[in-house]
Amino acid sequence: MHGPLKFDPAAWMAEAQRLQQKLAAGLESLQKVGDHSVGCTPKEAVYGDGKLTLFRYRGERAPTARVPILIVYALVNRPYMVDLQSDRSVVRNLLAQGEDVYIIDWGYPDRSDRFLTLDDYVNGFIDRCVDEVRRRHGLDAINLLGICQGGAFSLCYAALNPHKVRNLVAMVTPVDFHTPDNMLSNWVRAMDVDLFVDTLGNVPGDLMNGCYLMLKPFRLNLQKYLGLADILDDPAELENFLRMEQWIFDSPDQAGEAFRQFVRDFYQGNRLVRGGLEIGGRAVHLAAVTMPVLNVYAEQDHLVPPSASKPLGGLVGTEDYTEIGFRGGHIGIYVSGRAQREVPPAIHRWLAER
Amino acid sequence: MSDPTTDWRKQFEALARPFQDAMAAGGAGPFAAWARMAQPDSGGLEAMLERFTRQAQDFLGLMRGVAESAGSSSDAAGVAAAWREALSTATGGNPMLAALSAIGGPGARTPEQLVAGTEAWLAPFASQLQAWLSLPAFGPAREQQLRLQQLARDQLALDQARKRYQALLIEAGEQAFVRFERKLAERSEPGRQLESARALYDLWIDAAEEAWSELALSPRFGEAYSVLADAQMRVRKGVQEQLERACGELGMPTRSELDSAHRRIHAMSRELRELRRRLEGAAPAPEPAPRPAAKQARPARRAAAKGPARAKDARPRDDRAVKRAGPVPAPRAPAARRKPTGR
Repeated sequence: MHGPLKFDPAAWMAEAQRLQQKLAAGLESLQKVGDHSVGCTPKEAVYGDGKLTLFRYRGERAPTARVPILIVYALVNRPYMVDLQSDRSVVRNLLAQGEDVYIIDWGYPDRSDRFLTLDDYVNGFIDRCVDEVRRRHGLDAINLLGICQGGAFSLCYAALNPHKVRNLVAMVTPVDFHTPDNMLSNWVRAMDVDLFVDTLGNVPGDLMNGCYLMLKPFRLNLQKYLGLADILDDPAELENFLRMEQWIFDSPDQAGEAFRQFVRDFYQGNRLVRGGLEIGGRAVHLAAVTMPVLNVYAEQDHLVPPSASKPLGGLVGTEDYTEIGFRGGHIGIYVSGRAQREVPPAIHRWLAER
Repeated sequence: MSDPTTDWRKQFEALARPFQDAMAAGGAGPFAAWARMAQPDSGGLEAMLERFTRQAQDFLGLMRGVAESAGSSSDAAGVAAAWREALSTATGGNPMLAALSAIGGPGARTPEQLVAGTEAWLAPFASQLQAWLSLPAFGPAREQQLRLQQLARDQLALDQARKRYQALLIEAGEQAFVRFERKLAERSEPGRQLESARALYDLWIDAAEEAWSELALSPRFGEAYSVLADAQMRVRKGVQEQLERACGELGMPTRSELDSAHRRIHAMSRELRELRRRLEGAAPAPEPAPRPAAKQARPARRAAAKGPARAKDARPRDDRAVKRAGPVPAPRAPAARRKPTGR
């Protein structure tokens, strides 16, 4: 008869001692850890609106694409995830392909921003950024690349302003919020979001982090930190780890009214799919999204499962709809080595064909 | 004939002694050194170091506990039982609750932690909560009494919601052990056995995540979680209102007053933008006649608007430094550019 363990006490203790040794050596590694600042590509601020800043990235060579891309990131977490470090940068790789890339940095809302609504974000901030980029390039319409919640915003914007969006790229974008594998949706579906926002005002970023960590509490709170021991002797990996930790815990608070509307209309009402969504008094119909659409989803996404993204194809009005399933997770789609090789070139190719 | 499990344990204890000494080395051991690094003045690394130190300590303590209870010859049930015993010591018997509690700290909070601060405010009154509920409200303090009674009810409802939620976590914890034993049994065949303590730990993580996922996706958890979050918010809101009243009486500005001002500012900003948009929409077409000085900024925008539909090159027309929010070009008619491509 065999048991599940195939190691003797000596091996067991050797393993424990190795961990101890790593801990001792790790102290030195951490003290010597080099620069782990985030955001590697030069960029310049070209427009500001309240706490929002619109940046234009500068590549090593002039862009060859005639129509620029505007990246609309989510309100949660910070947009430097798309440009985390030189070898993990979707932006850098898009620039290398000849694209001209702008990005909206929403800044950090404070209590004075509590009454910002989805109307302010979609019909206000995004629209003014789109207009600024259009004005700078003398174009009728530009390319929009929405990420996660920013993808949902981009869909709404494109539906309301199809004449200003030449091509739409949605990355890890939730569309159907009522799929059975959507944990976040299951948790907030019956929650009294009015009570929640009326009590908290803005929703603290720390609270958002807490929810995300609850999605995989054992992996993200326990196993991950034990795994740190494996990389303590590798300065480059240690810096990567620290950058990722910075991004994970660098979470802006969420403007209360926009949060209320997003939870009520998207998570609870599923109105992108069921219909009835209004932003600023204007009805949002995905059938009005008539420009070419590229939907890039992550096959192992625990935040936005593929089942939440893929229904987009059946809802948009365009006949030019393309889907790309990336083998990775919600974060890996920006930072993994495979993502760098596959995602930006795929976006560039798709845009170049249009 | 010797018992292999006992032999294994004895051998382990002999080998483990130096390690245990290091664990108990107070200010000299590696854990103590890490703990010193994790002091509040160590800056941004503090939280990460604290988590890491805790995980490493827990891991080693857990492995030691398992090693003491189970030998290499133990079957899946034996290892699972040893694991459960060691984990119960480390987590107080509820690994799910322990894992969720580990979320707390700088940078991440759960609604439970948000309400903890307000509950502390209620603590001095805790003994009176139940008594308040049965008292009729009358006299000048009637309204205040009603508010406090409501707060007491909300606190009791929160206790109930918390118990219900924790019962689900206990259930999921049990499921994690069941799954763990099943996984251990699957790994008992030659060629599939676990060859390190870390592999054993990772297998537990897999089992626990699966059990958690099954619970967290279930409708009953969604409902219990919502009830808990609502109850937490009611208590927090009630305490906030009490504090606001007290601050108002002392002449301090309150959150409601600030909210009111912010709401008004947002409404005015929206109105201003709408007026600006209408003014731009109503602007006359370019004419050769001189234009009023107040509209001197307009020709540049018109020039942009009547420019070529596609840029000749990719350079932006205007590379001025940051432009703060200002007038934007009026919307133009959509250009026909939809291309039939087929999927």
